[in-house]
Formats: sequence, structure tokens, C-alpha cells
Amino acid sequence: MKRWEGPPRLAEFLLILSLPSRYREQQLGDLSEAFFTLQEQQGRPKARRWYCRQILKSVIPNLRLRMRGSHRRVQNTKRHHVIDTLFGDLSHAVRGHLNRPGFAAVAVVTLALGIGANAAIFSVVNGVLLRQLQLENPQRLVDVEVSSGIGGGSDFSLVSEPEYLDLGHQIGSFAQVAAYRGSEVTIGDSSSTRRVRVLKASAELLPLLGVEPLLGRYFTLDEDRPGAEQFPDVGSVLVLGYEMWHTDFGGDPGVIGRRIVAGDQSVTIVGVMPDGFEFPDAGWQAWTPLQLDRTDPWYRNNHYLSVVGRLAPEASIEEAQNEVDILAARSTADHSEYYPDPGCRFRLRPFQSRVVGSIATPLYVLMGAVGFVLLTACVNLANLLLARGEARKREIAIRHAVGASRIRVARLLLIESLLLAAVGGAVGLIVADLGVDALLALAPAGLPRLNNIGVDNTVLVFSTAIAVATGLTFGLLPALRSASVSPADSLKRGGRAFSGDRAGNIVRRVLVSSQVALAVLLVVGAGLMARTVLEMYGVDTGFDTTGIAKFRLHPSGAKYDTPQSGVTLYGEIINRIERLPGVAAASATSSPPLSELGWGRISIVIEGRPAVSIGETPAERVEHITPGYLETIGITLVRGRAFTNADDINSLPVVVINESMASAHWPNEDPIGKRFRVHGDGAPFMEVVGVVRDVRHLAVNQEPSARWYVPHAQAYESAYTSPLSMALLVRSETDIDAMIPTLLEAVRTVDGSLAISRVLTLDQVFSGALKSERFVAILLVLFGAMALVLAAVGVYGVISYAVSQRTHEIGIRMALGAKGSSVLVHVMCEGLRLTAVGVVLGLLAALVLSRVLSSMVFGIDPTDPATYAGVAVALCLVALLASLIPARRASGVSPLLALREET
Amino acid sequence: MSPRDYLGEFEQVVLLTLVRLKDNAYGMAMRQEIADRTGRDVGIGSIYSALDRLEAKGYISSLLGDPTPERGGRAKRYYRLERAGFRAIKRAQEMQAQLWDGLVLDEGAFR
Repeated sequence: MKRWEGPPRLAEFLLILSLPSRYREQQLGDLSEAFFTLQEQQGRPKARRWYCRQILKSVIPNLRLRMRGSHRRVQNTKRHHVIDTLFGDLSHAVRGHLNRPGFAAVAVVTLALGIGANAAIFSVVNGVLLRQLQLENPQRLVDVEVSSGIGGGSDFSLVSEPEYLDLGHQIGSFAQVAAYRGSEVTIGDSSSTRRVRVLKASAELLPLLGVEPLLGRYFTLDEDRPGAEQFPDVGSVLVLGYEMWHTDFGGDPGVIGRRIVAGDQSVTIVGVMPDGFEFPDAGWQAWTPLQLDRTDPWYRNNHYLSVVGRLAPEASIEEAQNEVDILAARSTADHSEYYPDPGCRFRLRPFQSRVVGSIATPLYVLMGAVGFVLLTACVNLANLLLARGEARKREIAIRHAVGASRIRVARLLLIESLLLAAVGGAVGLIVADLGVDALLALAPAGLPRLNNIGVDNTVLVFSTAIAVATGLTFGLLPALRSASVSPADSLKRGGRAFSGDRAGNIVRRVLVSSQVALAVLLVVGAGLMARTVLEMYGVDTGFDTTGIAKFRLHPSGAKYDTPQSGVTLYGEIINRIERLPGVAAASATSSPPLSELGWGRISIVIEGRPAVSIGETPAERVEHITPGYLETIGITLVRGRAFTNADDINSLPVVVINESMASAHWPNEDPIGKRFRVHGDGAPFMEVVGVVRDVRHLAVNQEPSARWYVPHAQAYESAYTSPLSMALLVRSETDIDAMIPTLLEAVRTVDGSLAISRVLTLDQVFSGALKSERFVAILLVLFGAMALVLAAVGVYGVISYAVSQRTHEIGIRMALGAKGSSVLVHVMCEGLRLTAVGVVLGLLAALVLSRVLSSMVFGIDPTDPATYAGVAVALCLVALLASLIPARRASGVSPLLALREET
Repeated sequence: MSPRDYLGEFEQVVLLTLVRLKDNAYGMAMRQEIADRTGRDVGIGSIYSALDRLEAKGYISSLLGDPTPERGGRAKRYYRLERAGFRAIKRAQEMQAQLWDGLVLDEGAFR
């Protein structure tokens, strides 16, 4: 989709609404002229912000312009019957609000924030969760995962090659099944290289998804075979994504058939995918054949494939699940060595739920929270209107008296509310437009389908709907109440209620209590998430992050074609970097913490404990490191020694394990000197020479798991392979950010053709890992604060109104000898009573609803008593403060004045 | 207009800016000029609101220009000072001068 280049259309629309027609031309022209100038000089975001600010500033003066114009018109034409029409009511409402700008402003700002926040969150929910994937019948796509039971785990995860082939051959409920895996490839030759995320997929994928290439074709089954690249007429092929086609090839239609160097081999571009095609999620730049060997697949214990299936016509996901359950049982029986208890199981899920993954719950929580904020705002406005209704009794009574029907009066009052809601909603859309930008800046990096997010027509409809609903919610009750006033009574009383209207007071109290309850609910949520984030920042990860930089190197496999040449390369690079001034330590690892998935579990055989089958052997995560790694990242050595440069290919194979691994396999024993080897024939035993403290490697909120470290220089002999692509970690004594260019330069002096990716500091990695929780916490705190302020205003309003109604009574009490202080206490107690009901209700609701947060909180219980108690106390304090002002006023009532007022 | 009608402060700002910009006095140029000279970042709507008031009083008149592409094909409205406006602004200036005449304002004045 082409991006709109002009000024923000929503804001422009609001301006058009507010402007009288005779000023439309020049004001819009002026603004867009300035917008384009600013956009050219300072960029689009700044110009957009400026434009929206201008419009917000101009709405009130423009409305005034409009009023002035309509006055003139009414005077000129003397069409008084206009007042009998709806438009008359509307203009009456406009004037009414302009006459009481304070009330109108409070209402519009409250609504704009409420509706704006709702629309902004909804934009994200809409873009991420609701909008359909751009694939054919995406609801018929199914994601397949397997749990093999190896290592005693029951996690559903990736699929092995034989399992994938079984799914393709044996499941009738699937029309087609495709497998894929993510990879990174260096594109280009030695002169200029860059890393590209390429999805390796089986030939079934695109036909299954039902997407046609924009140009050329998708790859065929022939090309999706191992060794296909050796046949000159087939060769290795690549399908470009739309974005890469534009960035790397300038959108040239002649790109089909061109050969490029990708991952050290020459590949032919055979197709280009259309704009907006994302699979399995955003960020994949090209697709190549997976080329798995269908006649001789890899072992069943190598789980590395993602699998997607399309349901056959008529088949349901339940039928498919039944079928794969049978397949799983058969596989467990046929290949029991690979499927220890509880055996092989498959899990089918709608594909879309895999795409949105773990973000769905936080988004729905936020949507709910922001909805509660709007509800609180509505309650507040209803209360304000009720109070105003009392003050306007006389006006209403006169309207009745001169012949206005009840319906007419109610209609006028309702139109007033709807007008406020409409203006609030329109301003809210601007808030939403800006809010979405802010949300995206704040959003976790993994937010899927990011390009889909924005204020679109769906959001517009949603906002209009909630604006109308809001107007009705807060306007209906006051309108009905006011309309039901008996004119005679009101006029008799001279518009001043003697001791307050009992029913009205009860309604107001119920409203405020519910408001307090909503506020408690939101603040509890905010408190829980804020504490979660604090706990995560405070957690001991077991490694340092300050002053450490990280980047991944991707040496070419053609150039470094022996394992030893890769080991030597990293030795040289680390050597050079260590000699740079300011560098405290440098080392390399195959999987740095908190960033990449890294290496999976490897099956191991412990000396003296022979395993019957591969399914029975333990499997633990491995990390390939160079000497100095523990020191660079600050992992504490508990026993034994760390690796040295002497631990090379000519010395005895050694290994370092963490405490979890020690206690898992050698409980109550000294692990030093124990030996184990990787599964498979001929692998040498490695001796445990050191034990290190556990590290939270995968995620900050995940308990550390067993882990073993193997020297990069030995791994190709002792642990299958020494990975060619490693992440370099450098600890600096000085400012690490300033140092990064020097580090990269040093790497390039060793080999200029090395592709480098993911250059970050570990501090950035760490805060990135918390972004999702922080995102939810910040928004919930914001919403909680909004609800708290609204609740305080609500309590203040009701108490202050009660005091003003009872001035006379208080005067009598004081004349009879009541002290000012006892009046003060009395009024404040009333405020507290009102709050207490709400607090209790809110805490109960929070107890029930906190369950939805349970997957997100960390380090505390979702029913954490301290948080709940704290929130209750805080709410009561706020309520006391809010009632202090009217209470002071009450205690200062002069008995004489109060009594005199009556006569 | 009766001589009792005094210019508001913002009306003065707008009128003086209009005079200063001569042939190029249209909304956005005036907004920019006011921002540059006084540091006040006013909304375009306020400018037009003031211009509308001044035009209604007969102090200024306006003329619609030609549409240009950089304005999204929309026309400019140029403003010009009228005799009544000239008198009003002169009156405001004289009034100021008289109020200041012989007055020394220093730190001691507000004690």
C-alpha cells in the first residue's frame, strides 16, 4: 500500500468539521503549505505532530468563528422556527457548552483521552490480532508441533524430518503439509556482503498458502531436493520478497533469471513475491528450497522443522487432531527408542494463533483495562451532568412550563451529551493517531505484523461506535432524570433543593462507588505489572551486562573450509581486539544470553551409565565458547577451572558445566573429574574441569536450566562441530558505545569480507528482553493513574455537592454547638464510607480478574496481598484528600449565614 | 466605529503584523511572523478568528488569491489594512505613548 504523503487526514477532517465554510479554503491551504515545508525540512513525524498541535489549538477559535457566523445568519433571516428542529437543539447545545466552557472542556478532555486511548489500543489489537492474514482462507491453516518426550519434557516444539513426511503421507485431513525453517544467508561476494533472513521452505509451501508470485514462479519439487544445485539445468533457486526486490534490485522486472551469490553459492532468482506477503511472519526477505532428503530423512530425534498444514475440504481441526493422535501412537510403538514415556504427541493449532503468539493476552488485557478507563470517565461525566442537572432544574422547569414536552427536554439534554462525545471522539482520534506512534515506539520488538498497525477505517468505525456509546452511557441517566422533574415543584422551590434529592443522591453514590471499584481494579493491575518489571530488573541473571558489546560474525564456509581454520580465525580476531586500548576482555560464544535461540539440547552419554536408546539418554543445552568467556561476561566459577588457550585440539577434551547440570546428573557427588560424551559412535569422553553458577540464559523470567560449555577449539572433535558463526563479546573499561566502530574495524582488518550482524550492547539486549513486560506495565500504570484521578474527582464532586446541599443543616448543627472539627471528621468519614464500598468491590473483582495476568507476572503472585493492601490504602488516602476540600468548607460554615440564607 | 472601541492586545499584534507583511499578508505568513517576532506559537485558528473580528469591524479587507499546488490546490486569502484600521492602530499607539509619557519603570515600582 502506498503511504499517504500529505497532512494527517484525520486531523484535517476534524478541522473541516470545526471550520465555517467561508474559512475552509484558506486555512486548509495555509496549513498544508506549512506542513509540506516542515516535512521537507524536519521530517514527517515532526510535521505531523506540529500539524495536529495546530489543529488542536485551532478547534476552539474556529468553533467561535462558526458561532459568530451562525448568529449573523439567524439575525438576518429571522428564522426562529429553526429552533424547533434538531439543528436548533444542536446549536443550542453548542452555545450552551460554549457558555460553560469549563465544564465542556473538562468533558471533552476526559473523553478525548478515554476514547483516544481506546482507539489507539484498538488500532494495535486490530492490526495484530483481528485483521486477516493476507493468505487464501487463512483460517484453514494449521500449525503442527510435536512433543517427543525426550529429556522427560512435555513441551510442544519443532518437528523432525520423518515426522514431517509421515504427516504429509498419512493424514487425510490435510490437503497439503509444508515444512520450513528460518536461516540467515550472506548475500554478495567478498566486496560487499550483507546478511539476509531467508526462509527455507519445502516446495508445497506456496501452493498450500494459495499465494501467487508477483513475477516469475515459485520453486518446484525438483528443485526442492538435496543436491539439486549440482544439476546445471536446475541449480539452486531463490524467490525474492517484495521489499528485497526493491532495495537490492530497484524493482527491476528483468531480475528473473539473474544469478546472485548467496551463502557462497550461485543461485538463480526465479520469482518475486507480492507486496504484503509475510510468512510465517514479517521480516523474511527471501525464500529458498528446504531440500530435505525425502527418501532418506534425518534421525527422528533431530527436531528442527516448523510445519504448516492446510485442512482438506470438509475436514475440521478436531478430525485432523484425531488422525494425528493415531499417527503419534503408531510412531511411539514403531520407534519406541525415540519416544520415551509419555511418547510422541502432536498438537494442532490454528496458524493465526501461532503468528500472534504470546502477545495476544497482553493486548487483550490492555484492551480491557483501557475500556475500564473509559467506563470510569463515563461515570464521572454522568455524575457531573447529574450535578449540573440539579443546578439546571429551574431552566428545565421553565422549558416544561412554556410547553416543551418531556421528550423534547430529554432530547436536548441527550444531544448535549452526544455533542460532547462527538467532539471528544474527534479529538480522541488525533490522540489515537499520535498514541499509536507512541505505542509502536514503546512496543516490544517482536510485535508481529507491525506494518498492519494504524488508524484505519475499522478503527474509525470502532471510535465512532464507542463515542456514541459513551455519549449515551453518560447522558441517558441524567437526561431521563432531568426530564422527569415536576415543573411545579421545581419552580416552587425556586430551583434550590432544600435537603437534596434522595434518589439522586443514591444514584450518584452508586456511581462513585463503582468508579472507585474500577480504579482499584486498574491500579491493582498496574501495581502487579510494575512490580513484575522491578522484580525482573532486580533478578540475578548470573551475568553482567554493563560495558559489554555483542555482535555476530558470519565467516564464509567456502573460505574457512576446515574446522581448524574457523578456530584460528576467532583466535586471531580475539587476539587483535584484546590488544586494543580500553578492552578488558574479549571472547566468542555460539549463543549469547537473552538474544538468540542458540543451540538446542544435545544427547549425552555419561561414563558408567550406558543408555539403551537415544530416547533414554539425557539431553542438555550446549554452548561453544572461547577461553575468557566466563571472565568477559562475569559468570562466576564455583569449582575447578575455566578453559585456557591450552585446551586445544591436541589436549584432552574438557568441559565446564553449570550448577543445575551438576545437581541433575551428579547429585551429592563432586562432578570434577567426571566424564561424559555426546551420543554417537566414536565421540571421545570429555572431562568436567569446572563448575559455574547458573545463568538465566533464555529469558529473564525463566528459571536457569542445565547447560554445558565446550571449548570452541575442541568442539569439532568432542561435540560434533565447532560452529563457524559465533557471537563476539567484548567488555570495555571505557564507554562501550563509542568503542563499537573500533571493534568492527579491528574485525575487518582480519577479514574484510566477514558479514557482521546484530551489533548491540548487552544492556540493550537486556532491556529489549524486558520490553514486553515494560510495555504492559507502563500502559497499565498510565491507565491506573487516569482511573485514580477520575475516581478522586468523582469523590470530590459527590462530597462537595452533598456539602453544598447541606449547608443549611450544617449551620443549624453548628449553631447548636457542633465543633468545626467534628463537622470536618463527619464529612470526611462520609467520603471514606463511599470509597470503602468501592474498594471492597474493586478488590474482589481484582482477585477474580488477576488470573488473566498470571501468565505475565513474575516474581510475585497475582493475588499478592501486599499489592492489594497497598492499593486499598492508596485509594482511601486519595479519597480522604479529595473529600478534605469540601470538608474544610463545611467546617468553616458560618451558622449565621447558613441560617439567614433560608429566609 | 465609535472611538471607544479599543483594540485588544492580540488584535494589535495581528494588525501590526499585517502592516509589516505588506503584500504578503496571509494567514500562515502572519502566524510565522508572529512566532519569529514574539516567540508566541499561536494556532492558525486564533489568527483567523482575530482577522474575522477585525474584518467585521471594517478595519481590514480581504481578497482571495489563486490556488497553488503546494497548498494542495487551495487559494490564499490576502488581507489589507483599511482606513478605519489605520485609525484604530494609530489610536492604540497614541494611547500607549500617553500612558508611558514621563513614566520611569524600575524595580522599585512594585514595592
